[in-house]
Amino acid sequence: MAVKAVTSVRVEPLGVTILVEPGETLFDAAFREGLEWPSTCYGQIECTLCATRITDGREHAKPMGEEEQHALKYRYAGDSDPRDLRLACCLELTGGDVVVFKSGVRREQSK
Amino acid sequence: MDTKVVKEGHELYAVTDSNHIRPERYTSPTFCADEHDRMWSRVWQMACRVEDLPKVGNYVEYEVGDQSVLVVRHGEGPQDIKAFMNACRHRGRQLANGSGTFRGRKIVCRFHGWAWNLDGSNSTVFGGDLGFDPSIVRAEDVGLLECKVGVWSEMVFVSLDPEVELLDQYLAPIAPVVRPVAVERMRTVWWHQIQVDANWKLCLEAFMEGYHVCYTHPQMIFANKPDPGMPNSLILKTLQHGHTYFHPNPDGRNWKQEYTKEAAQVDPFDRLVDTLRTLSPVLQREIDVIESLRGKPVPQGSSVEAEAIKAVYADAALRGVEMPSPQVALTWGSVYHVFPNLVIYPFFGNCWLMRARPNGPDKSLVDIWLLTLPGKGEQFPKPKCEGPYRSDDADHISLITVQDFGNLEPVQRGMKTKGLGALRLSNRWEALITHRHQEIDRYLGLR
Repeated sequence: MAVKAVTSVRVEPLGVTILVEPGETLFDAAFREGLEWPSTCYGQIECTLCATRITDGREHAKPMGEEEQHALKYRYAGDSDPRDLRLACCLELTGGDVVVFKSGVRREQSK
Repeated sequence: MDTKVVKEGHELYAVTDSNHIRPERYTSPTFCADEHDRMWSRVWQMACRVEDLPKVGNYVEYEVGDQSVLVVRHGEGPQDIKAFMNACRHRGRQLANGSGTFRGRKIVCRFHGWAWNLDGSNSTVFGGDLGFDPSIVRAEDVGLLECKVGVWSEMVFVSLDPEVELLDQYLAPIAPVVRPVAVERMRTVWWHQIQVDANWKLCLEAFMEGYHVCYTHPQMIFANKPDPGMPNSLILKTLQHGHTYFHPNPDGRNWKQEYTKEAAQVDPFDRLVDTLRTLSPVLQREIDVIESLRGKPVPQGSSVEAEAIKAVYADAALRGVEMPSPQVALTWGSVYHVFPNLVIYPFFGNCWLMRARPNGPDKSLVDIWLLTLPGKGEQFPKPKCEGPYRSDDADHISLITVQDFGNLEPVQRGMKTKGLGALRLSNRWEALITHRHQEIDRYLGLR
């Protein structure tokens, strides 16, 4: 399809829906929309704390790149099976409606 | 017998009269170090373009000598740009290099994960309460070190000196002279970096005098023969704070003037186009517009040049470009120098910017931007730096620039000649060069 589509993403359990622009990651869209997403490296593909599970609309996710695969394979230390996860700081979407589950996402506190 | 070169010490290299400049000012590592310690650490210098920072979190690293500064957009407003010294307040690691985006609105050190908000305030001392004495990591002590920052004509300037005067005051002598050119409305067409094996001052001096034109750029001379009076076609102006400029003398011989007898044998249209082709800030589009006049009669009382300018303005109007006032056309051919290292060279609705930074006494990194006034609704992408190119790379660098830089490396080597003594400069034609050296001496405490 020639027209690049915006993706609508509902973030659970917070229950907020945000729009992710073409070429933008879920992580960057979240901050642009006033959310804080768990991270300590802030987009440097190191901490893996932004890892999230796509519960619906998985077909709208662009495939993983090498850096993301490597980080999830060797650096992810959480309890989930890393094969079910995507790093929000790398995750780009192709349009449609998507639901993700990520604990710890909250509305921006400071400013 | 010149005994001064026996001993190394910058005080020996001061400019004591306007006719002489010591070559060591270009070649001595000590002098170069003094420039860093006393001048680069205090002046305002152009760090990047506002266009480089369109979105919140965008940053550009600006390096001068061993100092690195991060220029960061921290908010949407036009003034929401800050500059920080590029060092973690924990163990000093540089926080970012090149250009890019601080994501999630945080600047994070990759060593131990200390983090800062985009305004430089500390947001995280990782494990701080557990590992550090609270007095060591007080919030007010661990914010990023801030640099002075200011914006002029869509260029971001920084100064490493916390006590520096306001940018407006620093630029006050030169800003009104440049204002009619409308540089602030221009956007980047391209941006090149070039490595030159010559001192940074030398790189800029090619654009401070017209004396070299006859021999270095023979394609630009009139009547196809060197004319020793040619540099008289430029009026040189020296300003406070070390700024300078030259503009074409309306009474002198330049591209708008009557030709000599010999020149008259060359078709005036050919000569105009040939000259414009070699001028760095002229775009192919304008050459094409002027070419479309070929063979058309010149109206009574007009000239080839006047018709060319009319055609360029008419084309700009069609595209919705808001050109500078036609009065500005009288100043085309002028070159402005913002102390210490920025060249502004406008022509038509365009402008050529050049910046030279030292990499030791014998090497420089030169940036060149070509800017143009946008047409109605015309959008420009974020500028992308291309290069660094070698200074003789004629595929990527304009003829004039290759010719100019072609002199610099042999000059740099030749200036190291033992017993050469002071360089001899023309008071009349090379005064802008001396003026900048004198301003440098003020910073170095030599005046």
